[in-house]
Order: sequence, then C-alpha cells, then structure tokens
Amino acid sequence: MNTKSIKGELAFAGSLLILGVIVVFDTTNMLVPPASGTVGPQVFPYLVSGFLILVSMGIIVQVLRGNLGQPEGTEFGDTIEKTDFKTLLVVAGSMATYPLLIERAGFIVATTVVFFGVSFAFGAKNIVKNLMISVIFSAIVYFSFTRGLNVNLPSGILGGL
Amino acid sequence: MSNIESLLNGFAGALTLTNLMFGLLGTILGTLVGVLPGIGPALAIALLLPITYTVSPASALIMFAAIYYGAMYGGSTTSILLNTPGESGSVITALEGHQMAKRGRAGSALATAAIGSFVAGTIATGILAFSAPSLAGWAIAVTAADYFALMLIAFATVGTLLGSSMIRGLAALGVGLTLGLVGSDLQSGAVRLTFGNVQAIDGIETVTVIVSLFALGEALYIAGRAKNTGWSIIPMKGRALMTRQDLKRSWRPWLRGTAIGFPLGVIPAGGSEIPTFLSYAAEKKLSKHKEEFGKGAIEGVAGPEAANNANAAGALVPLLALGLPTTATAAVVLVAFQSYNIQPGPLLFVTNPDIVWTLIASLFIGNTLLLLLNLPFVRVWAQLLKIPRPYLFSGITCFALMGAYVANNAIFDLWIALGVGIIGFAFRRFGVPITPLIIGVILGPMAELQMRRAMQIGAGEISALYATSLSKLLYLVLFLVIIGPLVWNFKKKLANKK
Repeated sequence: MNTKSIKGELAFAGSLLILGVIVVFDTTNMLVPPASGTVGPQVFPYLVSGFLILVSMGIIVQVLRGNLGQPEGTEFGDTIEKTDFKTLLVVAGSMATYPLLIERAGFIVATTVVFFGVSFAFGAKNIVKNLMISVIFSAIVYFSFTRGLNVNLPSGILGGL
Repeated sequence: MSNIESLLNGFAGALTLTNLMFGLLGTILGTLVGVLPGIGPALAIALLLPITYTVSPASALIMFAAIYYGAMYGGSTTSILLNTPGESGSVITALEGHQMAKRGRAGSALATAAIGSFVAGTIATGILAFSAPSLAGWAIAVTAADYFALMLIAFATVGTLLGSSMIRGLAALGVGLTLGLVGSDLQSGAVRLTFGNVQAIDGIETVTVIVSLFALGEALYIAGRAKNTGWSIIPMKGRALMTRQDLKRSWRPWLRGTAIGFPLGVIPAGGSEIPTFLSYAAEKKLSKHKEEFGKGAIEGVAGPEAANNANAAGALVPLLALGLPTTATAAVVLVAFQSYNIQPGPLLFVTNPDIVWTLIASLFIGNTLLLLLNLPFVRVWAQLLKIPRPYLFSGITCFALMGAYVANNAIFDLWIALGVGIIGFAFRRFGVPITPLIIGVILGPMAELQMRRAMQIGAGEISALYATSLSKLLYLVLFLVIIGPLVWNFKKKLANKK
C-alpha cells in the first residue's frame, strides 16, 4: 500500500512540476507587445514558474524521503485508506453534465440531473423520492433567484413557465 | 468629520428597513452555512455575489457582514453539539465544548460561545472603527514597493502557516499565482496561458475558483474518501443560558480572547487557527480549574470563541485600509467590493466613506441580530444537522455550479470550475491547504502590478523594490517569517532525535 501512495504523491508533485514547465514555455513563446514598459509581461510569470518548479521538486524530495502528505480529515468522521473511485466518478460525471445541459435544457433540468446524480452516488437509493426532491429543489431555487433576487437563469426547454 | 460622527452616519445608512431585512437574511444564511458541514462563509458569500448586480452596495455588504459573523456562530454550535467544527476557527472550541455537551452542559457552552462572540465581535468592531481610518490615513504614504513587500509577507505567512506541511502550503500558493496569470496582461495587453482560447483572455473568474475549490472539491473528496457513516448529535437539555458561576468564569477569557484574536487578525497571520489555539493555551495556563481542561472547562470555550470572532474583525482592517485580504472570506468580500467598482485601500475612506461606515455599522447590527437570533433558536439550528447527507451534498454541488455559471453566464467558467474542483480533491487528498491558492489567485495580479509600478519608478533597477525604509523593514520581517519556522522545525527535529 505504501508504494502505491508514494506513486500517487509523486504523480501529484510531478503534475505541479509540469505546470511550472508549461508556464515557462508559454512565457518564452509569448507575443510581447512593443510598448511593454520597463518590466514587461514576462518577468512575473518567470518568477512564478521558477517558484512552482522549486517547490514541486522540494515536495518530490520530501516524498522520496518518506515524508508523505497528510490527507485532510473530513467533518464526517474517518476517511478511508483507498479512494472509492466508483462513487467519485459518479459524482464527477454528474457535475460534468451541468455545462452540457445548462443552456441547452435550462437551469431546472440541469440542476435536477446533477442533484439526482450526486445524491444517488452519496447513497440516496430511493429513486422516486430522490427524483421528487431533485425537481422540487431545482424549482424552488430557480424561482427564488429569478423572481426574488432578479438573477437571470436560463429557462431552456421549460421556457414557457 | 470625526470617527464617531461618521459611524453615526453609518448607522443611519444601515438602519433602513430594506437593509435590516438583508441583515436578517444574512444572519440566517450565515448561521445556516456555519452549522451545515461542507460550506463556510467564503462559499456562501461567493454564491451570493450575483446579487451585487441587482442590490444596492449597502444592502449587499450588510448581508455579507452578517454572513461573515453568522457562520462563526453556526460553527461553534456544531463543534459543541456534534464535535464536527464547521470551520477551522471552531476546532479548538470542539475540544472543551463537546466535553461540556457530553456532561449535559451544552446550554452553558453554547451560551458562553454566543455571548463571548458577541462581546468580542463588538469590541473588535469598535477598535476596527477607530483604527482602520487612521491606518488608512497613514497607508496613503505607502509606495508600490512597500505594497509589494507587504504582499510577499502575506504570501509567506499564508503559505507557510496553514496546514501541516510548509512546502505543500507554498505549492498551493504557486498554483494560485499561476491561475492568476491566465488572461491578458492589463498593462501590456500580452496574452498569457490561454492556449488560443478566446474566452480565457478575460482571465479566470475568482469566484469560480473559490466556489469550486470549496464546494466541488469537498463533494468529490467526501464521495471518494469518507466512510459512509452518519454523525451523532448530543441532544440538548434545557435552554442556552449561563449561570452566575459560568459568567464569572467566562468574562475574563472573553476579554483575553479578544486581545489575542484582534491583533493576529490585523497582521496576516494565516487565519484563525493560531489565535484560537493561543487563547486556549493561555486559558489553560491561567485557569484555577486546570483539572477540568480536557473534560469540559468553560474557559476553554469562552476564550477561543472570543478570539475567533475578534480575529475575523481584525482581518477586516488590512482589507479595508490596504485592500489586502488575508483570509478566504476577506478575499471574497474584496471581490464583492470590486463588483461595485469600489477598490478597498487607503483611498476608500476618502472616496466611499458612506459605504465603509455603513459596513462597519452593519457589523455591529449583524452581531446584535445574531445574539438575539441564535440563543433562543439554537435547538432549531441543531435540527438542520438532520438533513440526510446525500441531499446536503447534492444541494451544495448544485449551488456551487450555479454560482460558477451566473458570475458571467458562461459555460467556459463551468469547465474551469470542474477542473478546479478536481484540483480541490487532489489538494485534500495530498494534504495541501486550500487558502494559499485563493490568496495567490487574488493577490498575485495585485502583487505583479505593484512590483512593475515600483520598478518602473526605479527605471528598471531591482533596488527600487527596497528603496524605502518601510520596505526594508518589511523585508526584514519577511526574512524572520520564513527563517523562524525553519529554525523551529529544525529544533523540533533535533528534540525528536534525542
């Protein structure tokens, strides 16, 4: 188990390192407008990327020396050792439907889908009850924000309401 | 105009029926998000930012101020009844408060927490009202170089003091600074890190980052990593009231907590963990009932709760006087100001005095409303914890996605939100604190601006950055802030080896 968590940590620190390198590349290839003043738009990104690369290498060294990160505790008691990827993917997948649906189908439909998906993943197995709560929640939020606080939300396919 | 006169004008501006309604709504919402696990005041205010398009600045700021204080009241309720601190400042409260609740003294614990928060909040807001204007008057003389040094100190303290690992805090800061780079550079028009995406030219919306880090990241983390267990609420007997004995043991810790919390909020000391912990340690040392500590000592609730509230008020001083947010919530309040085209900072008291004084007055009003609202209804608040976990998290997720979308009505922002949500998950998984990222996103562009200004004045010479005496002093402080913890850690390691 230990080697596996080290791999995860290294992957995390490695992606920070890659991020730093990407910033360096982007900054080097930047089109700098001629009148950019004494300190151009490249100085700060170079500083930031240098900092990021240094810090991520520091983390890699720490991890290799066995100094792993402490997974954050939750407000729900104990955490589990191994990530539950199935639940995680259902939640992430439900979230990802939102940008696809919000303008095509409208706020109420998009919110109902996300609400239903996330609560299903979190263990609401009574599908009918869950669906009802999802619809009611979406409708209440939609009308209190559009009518109560004058915030515009896409009505979508339920535009007639 | 004197401070008192201005403050009275502030009250006059704040005490309209509409504003009071918004204040009341804010106290309710604030307590709600404080009680509910998974959402904090930063997220609540971020979600409500869209109302800044339709509501007057005074009303919105009053509501946000009430949420700011309200969340702390709510947080203490859950840490006492449930041993699950709703936010970091309540962690210490849970130590003694939950023990008191277990011994049937939940009422006293809740009362000393609420009244202590009120006392500390009122005193601290009072100091804020009288110190922020003079600090701002002095801050007008602060040069770009000084600002840059100040921001570096904020980066260093927030990056190194939060979380269990210093280097991971700095990594979070680095990611935040990188996200802050995205988009077109305001001074030269050069485009950075957009990878050809037209929508990215406007940069990444701060609200999107905050909302998705907190809410989406938390939802993903709980889904992937938490045991599917419920929580056990300790039923509350009687009412939230204090006995004469409780009061006698509480008032000194309240005042000491205020004295510790406020100054540590003013300097960027990285949130409420340190002041609450210091207050707890002080009370433990000074108490005549040392044997009760760990088993439910009322001083251990009274002191840290007061420190927590005073700390939150203290954090408003650098925000209002310098435009420097030092906590996640202060950062969101800054965004709220900016959406009204108001830039906090030394000139704020000159250009928008009415708004500032209304805000300060509304802090007083919000604090009073909270005391009136919370003590009698604490049992109602505790009922909220009976919301089943699945619906709680789907609600939080939906609100967060909505918040990310309505900021610009852009689907692009939602994809960014999902990406940042995954970063939030990874950070929690690998023990990286979140607040440094937020501070990096918000302060990064400001720091760059000040750095370039300072160097421009100094004709490109690096020495322009430490030309003034204040900046020299600040770099000395920065040096101590960075070196201090290193020496500290080294000593601890030596001690461990022995």
